[in-house]
Amino acid sequence: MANYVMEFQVLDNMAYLSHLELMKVFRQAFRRSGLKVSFSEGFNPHMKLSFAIAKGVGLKSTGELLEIEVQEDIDINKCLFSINNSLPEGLKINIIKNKGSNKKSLSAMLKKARYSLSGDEDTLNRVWHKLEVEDIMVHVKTKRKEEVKNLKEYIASVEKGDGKILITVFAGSEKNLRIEYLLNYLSENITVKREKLLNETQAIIDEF
Amino acid sequence: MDIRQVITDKILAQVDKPGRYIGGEWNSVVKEKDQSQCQIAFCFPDVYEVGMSHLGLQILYGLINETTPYAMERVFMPWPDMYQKMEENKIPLYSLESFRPLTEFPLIGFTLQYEMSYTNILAMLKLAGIPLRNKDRENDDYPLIIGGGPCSVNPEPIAPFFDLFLIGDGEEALKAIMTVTANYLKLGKITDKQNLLKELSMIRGVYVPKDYKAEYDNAGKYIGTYNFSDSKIKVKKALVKNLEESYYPTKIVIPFVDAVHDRMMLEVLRGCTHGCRFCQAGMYYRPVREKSVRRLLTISESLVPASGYDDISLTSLSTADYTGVEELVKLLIQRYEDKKISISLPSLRVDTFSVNLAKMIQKVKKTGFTFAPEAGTQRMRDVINKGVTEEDLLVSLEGAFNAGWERVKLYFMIGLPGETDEDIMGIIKLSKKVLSLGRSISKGRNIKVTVSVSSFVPKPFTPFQWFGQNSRDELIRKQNILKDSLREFGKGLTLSYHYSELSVLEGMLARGDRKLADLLEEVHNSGCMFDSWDEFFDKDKWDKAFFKLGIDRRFYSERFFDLEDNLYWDHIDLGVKKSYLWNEYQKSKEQNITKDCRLGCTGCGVCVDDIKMDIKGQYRG
Repeated sequence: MANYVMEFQVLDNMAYLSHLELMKVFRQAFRRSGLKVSFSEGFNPHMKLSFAIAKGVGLKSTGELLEIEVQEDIDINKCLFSINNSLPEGLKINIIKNKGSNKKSLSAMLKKARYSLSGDEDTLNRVWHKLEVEDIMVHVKTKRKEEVKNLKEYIASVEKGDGKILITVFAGSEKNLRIEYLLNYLSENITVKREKLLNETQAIIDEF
Repeated sequence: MDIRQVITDKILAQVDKPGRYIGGEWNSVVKEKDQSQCQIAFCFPDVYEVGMSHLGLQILYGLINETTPYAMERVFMPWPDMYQKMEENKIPLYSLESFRPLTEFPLIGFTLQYEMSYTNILAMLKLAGIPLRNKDRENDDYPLIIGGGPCSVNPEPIAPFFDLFLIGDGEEALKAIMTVTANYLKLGKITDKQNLLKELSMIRGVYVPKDYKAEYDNAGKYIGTYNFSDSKIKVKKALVKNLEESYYPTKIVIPFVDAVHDRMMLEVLRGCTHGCRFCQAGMYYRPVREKSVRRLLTISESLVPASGYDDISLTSLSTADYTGVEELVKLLIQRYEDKKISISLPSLRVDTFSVNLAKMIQKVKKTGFTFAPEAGTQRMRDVINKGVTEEDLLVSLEGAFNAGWERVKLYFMIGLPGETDEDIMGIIKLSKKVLSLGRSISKGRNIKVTVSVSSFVPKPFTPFQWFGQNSRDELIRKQNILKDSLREFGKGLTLSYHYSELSVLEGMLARGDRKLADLLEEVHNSGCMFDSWDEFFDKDKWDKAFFKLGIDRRFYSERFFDLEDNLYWDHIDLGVKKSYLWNEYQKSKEQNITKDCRLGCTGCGVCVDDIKMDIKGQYRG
């Protein structure tokens, strides 16, 4: 038995799959690729597969993470090739790493997420100014409750990149920003993409 | 307009389950238009999840795309939220493979699975910008609209909307249609549509409705539907004579959005000859043709790795009748158990053999048990020729409960010919017996019996095609009897039944004539779609249309025909003789049983020349 972490991209129309649909695609792709994933015990055996975090419908990403337990050690390069050959267009594994002795789950490691916002220069300037303000108070409504949040408290850093703005926000079980709230606040014609999932200090995938 | 662009940028974020509309599924096939010699859009007039569960689609899709120089693409009825968005943004109905509008296909094929999907067909044509009636599509610019599937056996209510129907098995006939059509294409468009239709009408199974005239006498009594050039011509159904060697898909399209049946389907046999007198499929798909265990194992060897599914369903009208079923199940379990691939049997017979089969497969996964006694009393089961006794049912269920099953589903019908209230009470008595049996065996486990009661709809080409359906009020009265009595029994028994309003409309359309096309167009114009979905069915709109056009639904649904009457579907020939069906109808009145023809020919007339039953082993009866 061994555990592996995979970083993958969700591009084009694949972004419109729901979290459950995406999980199903991966389960089926693993089967097609011949990867021997471990199963849980019991009447309804499930593949031992989990994602670091769910991704909103419509959101593109280049840095999603999943982890699996497999029955025996794998040849990482061969496996990368065969899984990618079993995935539909728009989904691709970037890298596979052995999780080694690290027992912590990806979702427990997750603390932040980095997003890129791109658009034309004028739009990005406006976005930059909207993010510079002291407080970003928004009214949010979930199934359970309605509340006023200061989105600023959820933003870890903002920086200008090459033709885009990179914004790092808190993510995970302790403190999580739904990026839709921020996009609603900005309400600008920008393209958003999730770039990386991070722990306190760096990209989680670089931990392995 | 780049449809894909507009959909992606403007629409997908605003609709429910956008995965229905994006295409790109595993094993979907995109052929550039200049890479194929003829193109057909296969339209399923219901939502994606329902359409993608349809085995016929997967068979024809694989057949055309893999083995011919032609191309087939898929189209489903957009859910109402998407339909509205597409209309607002002037996006025509498009195919999921190439995102091309339907008007760019020379052929469009609708599958006719149930009558209540007819308004969706019209809604799809409208969204595609294609005139509804064949008479408005005579110029070459428009595609040929083809209908096929079970409801094509009486296509009259929708005949004015179609250029041709393909009656019977689609595999060989569709290929032939595309081959002929390819010769008539110039730059992807049909030339000389009239001659093309003439040539297509020579293919067995093809019915060109505009070549036939429905005639009525001065008093409005139906005389018959006749071919203009030769009144004796009948349309014979197409048939795959050798199912064993016929094409079967292994690179099936895997839907992103969960389909209703989201698993591998192995078609073990086609047809069923138990001869239940209410069953249209049993007459339509005659004779019984099986595949060999060897062939099925070969198919599964490719199907499993190509799909990534973890469940194989052994599909047919009655899989427990398959002569190789025991061997097949054993071998499949042996091969796939360690890959955690489960086997499922969607249709079981009421007997211990079936229970033992189920015991074999439950090693992998546990599911509920479903049985269809169909009627509550022995008298009634003899009327419908359902060869099941109460003892069969109880003994089988005893086995199931003993083996640890807790959930049982029982299917019944009400509104059958000759039914009395005693027969209705029989449903309750039997269900209660099942529950008590379960409770006595289960020792404290939580037994659940679901009693699913549908309302009988007489269908063409069955012995009950002459029988007038129960009125809506009568069906409701019978449902109330069930409701009242089951309530007393408390938890453990759940009752579900059909919306009787819909059953009556289904009955009307199933045995309707061409005049009903006006009604369908009228309700379509008033905005009806997804009529088979209770939440969208709009009774008011239908009622208004009936009133406006002066059509009485009960004239059709409750009508008893006589032997001398010409039936609206008499110009279609499924092979089963009308005299055979009539004789079966008479026998039903005397509760006279007809045995399965696998045990000896009963003379229905299907097997002529080289058409014959093809079973691979010893039928156990």
